[in-house]
Amino acid sequence: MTKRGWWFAGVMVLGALLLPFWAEYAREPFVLDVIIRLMILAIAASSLNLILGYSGMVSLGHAVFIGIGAYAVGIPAYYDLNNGWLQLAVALGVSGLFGLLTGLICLRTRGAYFIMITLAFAQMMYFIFVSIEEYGGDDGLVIYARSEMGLGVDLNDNNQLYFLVLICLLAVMILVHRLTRSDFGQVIKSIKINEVRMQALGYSTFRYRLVCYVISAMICGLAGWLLGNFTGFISPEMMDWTRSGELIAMVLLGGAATVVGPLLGASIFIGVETLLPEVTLYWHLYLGILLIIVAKFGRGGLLGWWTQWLRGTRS
Amino acid sequence: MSHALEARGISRSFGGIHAVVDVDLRLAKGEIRAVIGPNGAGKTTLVGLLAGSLKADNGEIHLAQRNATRLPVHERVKLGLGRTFQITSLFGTLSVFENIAIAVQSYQGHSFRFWRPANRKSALIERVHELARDMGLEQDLHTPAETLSHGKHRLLELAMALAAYPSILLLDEPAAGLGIEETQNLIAILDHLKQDAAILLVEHDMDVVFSVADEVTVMVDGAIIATGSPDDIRSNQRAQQAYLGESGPDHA
Repeated sequence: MTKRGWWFAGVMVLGALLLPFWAEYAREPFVLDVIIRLMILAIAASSLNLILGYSGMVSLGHAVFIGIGAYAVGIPAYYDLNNGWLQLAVALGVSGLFGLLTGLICLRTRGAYFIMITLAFAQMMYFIFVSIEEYGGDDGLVIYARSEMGLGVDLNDNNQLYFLVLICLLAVMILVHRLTRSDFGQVIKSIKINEVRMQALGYSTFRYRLVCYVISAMICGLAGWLLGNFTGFISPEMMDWTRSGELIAMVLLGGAATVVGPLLGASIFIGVETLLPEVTLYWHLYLGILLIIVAKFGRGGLLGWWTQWLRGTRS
Repeated sequence: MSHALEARGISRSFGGIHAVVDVDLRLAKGEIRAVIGPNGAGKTTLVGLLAGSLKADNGEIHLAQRNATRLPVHERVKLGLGRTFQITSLFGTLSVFENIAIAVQSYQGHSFRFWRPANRKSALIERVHELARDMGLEQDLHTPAETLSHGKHRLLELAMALAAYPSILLLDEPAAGLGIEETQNLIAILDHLKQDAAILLVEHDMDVVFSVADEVTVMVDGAIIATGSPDDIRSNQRAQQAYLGESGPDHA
């Protein structure tokens, strides 16, 4: 990253740290809610970016892991098991396991088939949760208590939840940064460019893609765990394929295969979703148009444009 | 004598086309075997079958005395197999360094490391430089592979195939499109390589074939019609008819 980039990141983190105090001072608690949701979506989009951006696998079922993470809060809470660490372990464990089992099947396919089969698995989970009446079925399930973390942390305080989400987001971004530049990351990126060659060099490409898929699933499960805590309500709708589509849009809008891209994409998405409805009912239309423009003209997403523009101004 | 590579009666059809028919092949370390034949003779299919990217319909393949018939590509690499591709197959957007490094990394085996930055280990860097030096690519280490000349693409292919110290090398037309000087360079490299490996060389350039091959195998329509020393093949009537008459050195 450039020096300017680090400065920018520093200012952003400082701003994020100060935001709750400003929100309290300005009596705008709603802003905090918007940013919490934004950061959770950015975590989910970052996880998708690992497989979509860095490994070139377009999954149309990634939101299923958000659902799994959220139900990992909701279902234990339904039985008065509010221990946050337990819920987190369940969220990570089950999404990782679901990623492993479905990945064993999905990753044997490519391109359109991969899209279809990830979609199929996600819809399967969707309808399974729709059919379980005990946990609200179609209507969803209200979570009456947020996770209890101990250590003096109280997530019922929105500010504390905010900081927890912020820490998770930063941790995930650092993880993605390190991971994609590690030995493992080199392998994943090279498989995306030329899988046949990687096999001829002795790599069991399937194994590496599977590990990447499972890591991605677990990070998305973390996002779901946070989202369940934040919204206090979960429904199968959270893992609907349109949610997965939105995650893809965020990654592509911001800039695939970059660390900051998903955060930028999530910001744009939340920005459009929050601001445009005040002007027009048909805000999806404008998001669609924006997507078309980015897909047509900006291969690297908005972040790609930005870096190109920076280069242009320097030379 | 123990063979590094042994194929027994391997065949492969695509639909009604018999691409490779009942091919037997034995190669020992220290030997360069050239496979020649007209276009469509099944040479590249043969390489695919030996490398494992294609599955044989019949027959058995043994690598380093192990039955490799059912092993996938990457497992065969672990038995000492290395290959280059007829159509250059690189990581175009990555630098020459990164191309070679990913090959070295496979051999040095530390690909499930998730945290520390890649390409910083001195053993890896040393080996990358060594391979680049051997192929004359040292000046190009930081150039994106896709911007190299065609001749250097072929050399980079070879550098990557050599990273794992292969004991069996399958080279699919390494000299295709090379200039005279580059070809001479390649011949010298091959001569040196055969000390440590059994080399199967699919090649159209008869200068290369006749200057490096210990044995020549002629394929026509998927089957081997003749095998012998370069001199035998030169004087072999059937081989002449099938192939050499059109583009061989005698013709020129």
